[in-house]
Amino acid sequence: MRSSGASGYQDDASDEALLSGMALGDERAGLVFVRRYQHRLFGLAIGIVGESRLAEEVTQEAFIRIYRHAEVFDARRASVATWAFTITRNLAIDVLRVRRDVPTDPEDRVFAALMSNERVAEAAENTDSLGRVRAALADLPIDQRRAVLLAAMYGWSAPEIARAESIPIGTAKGRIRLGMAKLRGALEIEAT
Amino acid sequence: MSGDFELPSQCAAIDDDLTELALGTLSGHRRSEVLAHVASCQRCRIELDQLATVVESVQQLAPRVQPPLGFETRVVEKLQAIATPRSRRRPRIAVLSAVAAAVVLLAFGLGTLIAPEAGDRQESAPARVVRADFMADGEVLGDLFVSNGSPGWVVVTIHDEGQELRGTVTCNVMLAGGQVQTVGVFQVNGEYGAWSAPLPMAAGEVRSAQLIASNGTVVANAQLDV
Repeated sequence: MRSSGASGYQDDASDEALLSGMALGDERAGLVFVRRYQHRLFGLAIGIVGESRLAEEVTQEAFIRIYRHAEVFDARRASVATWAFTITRNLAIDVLRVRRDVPTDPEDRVFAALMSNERVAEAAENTDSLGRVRAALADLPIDQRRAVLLAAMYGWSAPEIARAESIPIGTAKGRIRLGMAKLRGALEIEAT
Repeated sequence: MSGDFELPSQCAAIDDDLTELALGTLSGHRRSEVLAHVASCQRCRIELDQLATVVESVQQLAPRVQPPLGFETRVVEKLQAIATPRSRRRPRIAVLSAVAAAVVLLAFGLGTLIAPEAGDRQESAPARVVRADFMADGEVLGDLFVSNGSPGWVVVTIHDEGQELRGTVTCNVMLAGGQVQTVGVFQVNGEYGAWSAPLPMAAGEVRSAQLIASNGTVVANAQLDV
């Protein structure tokens, strides 16, 4: 809701308001959204596909899909950020699956950084919100940390994790569930 | 999370699936089943919200990387190419004149979804409209209308009694799950006015709305009778 649709969106408009504007074909809303998310989505894409040109294609296609489907975004299912990440992540994984055999090897620098002990030490001293997440992730047993990262960052399902790790599907599900539960507790995410 | 109490059997049956739904890794058919349950179960909806917050937190750890030079321009050009035909058939968010607002509200009353720009109507299944008074200090300041079309719409009107209101006003809606979400910001200039915006959530989720002045003060409340 704006006093003037033509005057556009302020940079502090909520993600949901921007999506609503995009759903109505408002180019300014699209521009603000791209500026807000390009670094994060490109960072995720290049972390998965590993090269800039391919990551740009993935990120560009992600923005187009977000724009095309803005009107069907359902806030009950996920936040805008999670939705945008999921679209980008799935596109990046699809690209890699075409180029390589499935399952995609996640041994990229993003994954390595999040799994490394150096990062753990750094996270423990970091008190901002991202630092808290890094520290909470670092506190997980390594098998749970790996399962959560494979699922959240790379979209691996429990059966895919089970195959890659040579463990039963139930074990993979358990690692994901326990890891997520511990993270929720550590981040003190409670009902609002 | 099941906690120390026993979950209803339906909730217990999908407890693990909620995690995978939040992660976006649940497969199609099962995903539909779980979503159907979540739609009717507040406990599982809250659970899903919390798990989605965890997922979002983890995803935020992806590094922020500067895209190649010219990336933003290239993306925006592509979006403009999409937006041009779309904007012909769908309205922009708009300030409604009193007449246009009356047209919208009349159309709501007739059960037809209508776009808020003249000559840009789009008929679909009859839309249900609910209305509530915006109250301030016991006086009716204006109206809140919520239509459950696709997308849903919210219309805010300010009556003569609200003409002392001036400046930037934010409209927040409170949802069934307790979340608060901003649906729009508009300027009030001391005259009768009406504003509309598409809802970023299902209309049925909206329980109440607030108008917030730029200094953070709640200037009016509207409680929907749903």
